[in-house]
Amino acid sequence: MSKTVKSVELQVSTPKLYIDAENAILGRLSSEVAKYLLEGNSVNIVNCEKAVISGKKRSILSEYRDMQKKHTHTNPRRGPFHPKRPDRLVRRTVRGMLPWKKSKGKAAYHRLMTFIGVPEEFKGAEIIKPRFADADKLNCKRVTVGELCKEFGWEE
Amino acid sequence: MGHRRVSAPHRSSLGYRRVRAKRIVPAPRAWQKYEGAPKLLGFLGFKAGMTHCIYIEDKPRSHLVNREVTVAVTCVETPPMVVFGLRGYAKTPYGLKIIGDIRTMETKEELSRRVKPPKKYDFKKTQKNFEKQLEKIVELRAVVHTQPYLTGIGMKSPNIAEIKIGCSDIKEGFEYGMSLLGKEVLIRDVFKTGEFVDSVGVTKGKGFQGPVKRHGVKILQHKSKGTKRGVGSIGPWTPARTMWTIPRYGQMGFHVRTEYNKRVMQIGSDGTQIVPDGGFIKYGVVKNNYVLLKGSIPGTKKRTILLRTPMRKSPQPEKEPQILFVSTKSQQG
Repeated sequence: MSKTVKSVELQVSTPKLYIDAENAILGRLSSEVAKYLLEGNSVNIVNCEKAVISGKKRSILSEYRDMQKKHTHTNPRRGPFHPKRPDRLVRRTVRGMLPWKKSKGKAAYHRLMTFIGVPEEFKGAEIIKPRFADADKLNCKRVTVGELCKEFGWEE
Repeated sequence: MGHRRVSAPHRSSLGYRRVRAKRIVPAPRAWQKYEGAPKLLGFLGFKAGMTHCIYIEDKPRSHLVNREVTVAVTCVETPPMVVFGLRGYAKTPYGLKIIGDIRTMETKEELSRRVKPPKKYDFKKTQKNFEKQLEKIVELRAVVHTQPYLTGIGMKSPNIAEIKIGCSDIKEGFEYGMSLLGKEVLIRDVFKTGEFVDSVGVTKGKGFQGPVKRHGVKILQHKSKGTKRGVGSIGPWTPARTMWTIPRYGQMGFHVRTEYNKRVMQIGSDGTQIVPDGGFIKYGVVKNNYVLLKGSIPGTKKRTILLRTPMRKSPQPEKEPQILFVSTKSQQG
């Protein structure tokens, strides 16, 4: 019973952050978001398909393809599952930066939601564009998460 | 490798999940991308049974072309469907979402066996709201119910299903849907004789079965130890788990299966011409409109079957088949 009470307390006191992932570097954004989440904030990330991964498209793609091959040998339906939709991919990236095996990390993960584009209900909200993850400072080639997901079969 | 003793083809397909269907009225995963004058893209019927007919083969590449051929046909009884609702779907990044929903209050009494009409309902207001949303709508579906009480199968409650309205313009489709609301649709309005259709239905349930019946594993020799009707080896020492590919016991049958490109041999209204003497076994006589489909379709007799406009692009036969004879010989004894 104590567990449920805890989660209610957290939900009441948490401030909500709205983060725009457009032109933001995926890893840098995710690590910062993970920190916010562990502090007890809840975060909504919008425009997930426009987040950026630095590097050549071919090499990033091959890395992700290698990752997608990893599944339970005896029954692939048991996972691990590799998301192929931009919002799910971003959410999974943040999950990798949270202490997933602790209840603290799981609770933080449930405070995160990710979206493709900007949902209509968020139109009045103040959406932050994080400077720490700005992709303009990159001097290399880059791929958006949306482009990557299209290679995996995602349809806009 | 290559020797039967060393490697053998896999027993049964791994492409299907062998799980029980969630409901008996099939909901197809996809509908045809249709362009043209608005019409419904499917029809629900009840499987009555099989018989055979003789027709003149009109497949140009067949070696039996222009000769009389005997084929097995399945009879599907199709009493008129009633449209009682309309649904509009919008496209979102997460799939289709219902944004418009209309129903008529003037429905048949039998429908209240399945759904009870809302107490307060403002039809005009709902219609206005629906029309406002028309620009966002990408897919229209008619909510229909069948009329099994018109047949002799003893089922009273109608089946409810959504059937896509095919149209090139959503406004046209909406007007067409509104004109159908509360009215009956006949099989002739949807399909023509000679066309291909897909049949979606739930197969016969076989219950919990062993690997021999379920997957077609060989029965071992009678002296084999432990099991005769089982799998000889269910995997290596390590990994110390059973692989998902091993043919094992479990549910067999009662799966949703789609069969593609069944040819409509005949659409008729007089059942006496095709029903065998003494009626179809476990079904009886056909009292309503019916369809004769070439070949077989999955499911038991009396089962609700969805006939859908074909998904696969294959050349449609141009002519109607010329049927010379339909067998009405008794199927009893």
